Amino acid sequence: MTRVWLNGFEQISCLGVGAGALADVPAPGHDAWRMAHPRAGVTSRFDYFAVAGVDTNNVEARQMDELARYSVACASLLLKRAPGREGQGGGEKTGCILGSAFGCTASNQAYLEALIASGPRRTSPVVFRNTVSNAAAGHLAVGFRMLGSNSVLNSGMVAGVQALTWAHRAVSTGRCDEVLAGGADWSSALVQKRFAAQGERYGRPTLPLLDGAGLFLLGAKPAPDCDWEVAGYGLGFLNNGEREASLKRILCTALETAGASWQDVDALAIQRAEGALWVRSSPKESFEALAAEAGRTCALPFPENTALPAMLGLGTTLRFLAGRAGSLCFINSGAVHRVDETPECFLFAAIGADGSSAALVFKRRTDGESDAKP
Amino acid sequence: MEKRVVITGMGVITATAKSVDEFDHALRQGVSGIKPVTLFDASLYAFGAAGEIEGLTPEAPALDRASQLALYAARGAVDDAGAVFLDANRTRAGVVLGTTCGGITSHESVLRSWARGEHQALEAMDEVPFHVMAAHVARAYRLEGPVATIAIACASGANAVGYAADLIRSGHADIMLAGGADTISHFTFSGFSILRAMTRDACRPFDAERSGIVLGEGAGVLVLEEAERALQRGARIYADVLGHGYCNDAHHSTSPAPDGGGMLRSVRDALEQSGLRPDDIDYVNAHGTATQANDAMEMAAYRRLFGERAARVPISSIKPMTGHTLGAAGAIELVATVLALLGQYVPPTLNARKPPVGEFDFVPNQSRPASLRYALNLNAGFAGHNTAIALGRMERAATAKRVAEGAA
Repeated sequence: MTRVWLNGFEQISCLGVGAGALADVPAPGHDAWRMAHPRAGVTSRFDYFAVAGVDTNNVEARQMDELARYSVACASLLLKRAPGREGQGGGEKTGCILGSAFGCTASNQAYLEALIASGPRRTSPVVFRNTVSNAAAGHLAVGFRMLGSNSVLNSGMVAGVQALTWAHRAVSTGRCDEVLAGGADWSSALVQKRFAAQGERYGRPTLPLLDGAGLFLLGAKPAPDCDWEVAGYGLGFLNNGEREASLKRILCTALETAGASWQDVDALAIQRAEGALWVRSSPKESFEALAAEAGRTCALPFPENTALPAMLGLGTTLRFLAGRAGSLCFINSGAVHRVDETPECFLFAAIGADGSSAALVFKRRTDGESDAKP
Repeated sequence: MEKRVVITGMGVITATAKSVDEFDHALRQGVSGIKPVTLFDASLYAFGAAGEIEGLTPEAPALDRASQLALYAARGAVDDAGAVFLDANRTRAGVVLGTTCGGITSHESVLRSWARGEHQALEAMDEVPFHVMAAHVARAYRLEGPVATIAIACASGANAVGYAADLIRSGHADIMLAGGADTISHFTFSGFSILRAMTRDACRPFDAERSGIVLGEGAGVLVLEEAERALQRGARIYADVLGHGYCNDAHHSTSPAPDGGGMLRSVRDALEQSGLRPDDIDYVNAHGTATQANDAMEMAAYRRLFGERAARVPISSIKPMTGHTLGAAGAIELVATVLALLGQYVPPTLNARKPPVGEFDFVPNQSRPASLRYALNLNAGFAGHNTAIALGRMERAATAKRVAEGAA
């Protein structure tokens, strides 16, 4: 099996355009509601196409819906800025696996509203063409010549993390040399209205549905500034009656596939819209016990959100742990007292509102490490 | 080491059948399920017929019709697989479903009620997200393994089966329920009408007189198992899932690549994973939607794939019988392909008037016996997505031998 390297992360969200925008997010990053609520819905107001350098002087770009626009702009940021990759890439070994919680629901709604109001003869073929969740992946394939494996998951909040696990498989088996993977979402007004009512059910304000995109680049060779190897993953569906054991099983599977154990873990993040991060310091915690505690406190169902919180949480945590940027997004830095050394093994898990869960193991790249098999 | 994946159960519901046995009969007899739509007022459209499922008794009325279809097919598959969950580790059992529209009927219902000022409860929107279907199936069978939903338009169902197979192959699961479900609706009727993709005549795949699709609804679910586990429990094994490819055309956001490039690369990946060559393929269950663009693309792909042998490889589309079931199509058609391998016949492409003569064998109008070892199931979708699944017939002798070796 080929080793898989994480070669970049970019994002577009209500917090700004580009991963660099997240560095300006005021700490403490875990107060996700306070941070995101005033800005919810503003993603579409950013001129992200201009920032990302996307040519909009063509029919295709003008006819895209917001989901495709977020995805294309974010991919442009990532692929054009990826060190060592400028202007290159694409081909039969370049793939794309995207994830989305709500997919094309917003375009579906736009089309249905026109259909209901004016009848079938007054609907728009342009809008109907956007009513497939994979439209964004298609635009990316065309725009960046991605002729390889390509698919789209609509698995709820963990869809983006699931996409990363699938991308790992595609690269590790040699089917692809490079895969663009991650999550993007654009939710309709009615969906937002429905899920804004979640607060009544849970007795507290809930994180508003976040629009945007968070994308990663996985490759068979590490980029010059690559910090992490994607070493393994686990997938599962939480048993609400045995959450502690259920979550631990998924994490153990991830560790097993990475050839690691709990003793190797230096940092652990469990994320469910708003998450928590623990980093090994002195005295050393038992990460296994922390994971069990996280499972115990994670009663299902809990507030729904898009694929974006997990993407921002993962992306910012990876940068934070590598000492590249200061702020965490949607991850409570809870037990992070001090990061004395850069963690060598980081375990990340995302839990979806329906119980779908995915975990990834990241191992720190050491100097001179390449794609040579260990 | 990669695991081997086999099919041990199947469930299906279409306009032609509510069981696998009925489906098999319909395929052999060339039964068409296309008839005037009754679920909604289709008089608004130039062509008011579809592959509508009649007499569906909703066991859980609160669920969207797509979820009901998915659960129906899943139940059929699990029942068909025998004691698949007896002594099973459900933490290593999951579900992957494909869909194009998800809970679209619930979405439309809520919007129409609000338009009328009735304000149907927003809780009905809980059935709209695509992943809800798979979650219902996972809870019904207490599955704790991987649960996912795939949405790549009309290639969703097949891609779901391929992804599920790969989860077993890679060791992340032992048992996976995999398939797809979609319903007919005003949404799809009007959409495909406004795109001028719907016929006003009949669905005639690959025909010189083809003029577009006929829609349909349905669900297909297969039980995939890790082969050694299936053999040890003495399961009836239908077929091997040998390989899976899923490449994008990267040509245009809506039109397929005229040269069939994306489909060919998908087939290449599936064959490479299978250890097969094009010469090994005895039957192709085509996507065959009867649009000018899709069918031309597929014919270009078959010419490049099979060369001169193209005229001797039976290739058929069952969409004239079931209608185009969108995200369910790949899964339903995989069931048909498995039945073809089992029964050693090729299903027909109905409504053929002027099929290509000499260059291809699209099995016009009548099924016929055939000697089949390996088959391909192909699907394509909007935005350039393609899926190819390679299946192999399970040799009865080999099955018995392995069971005997396992018992010794």
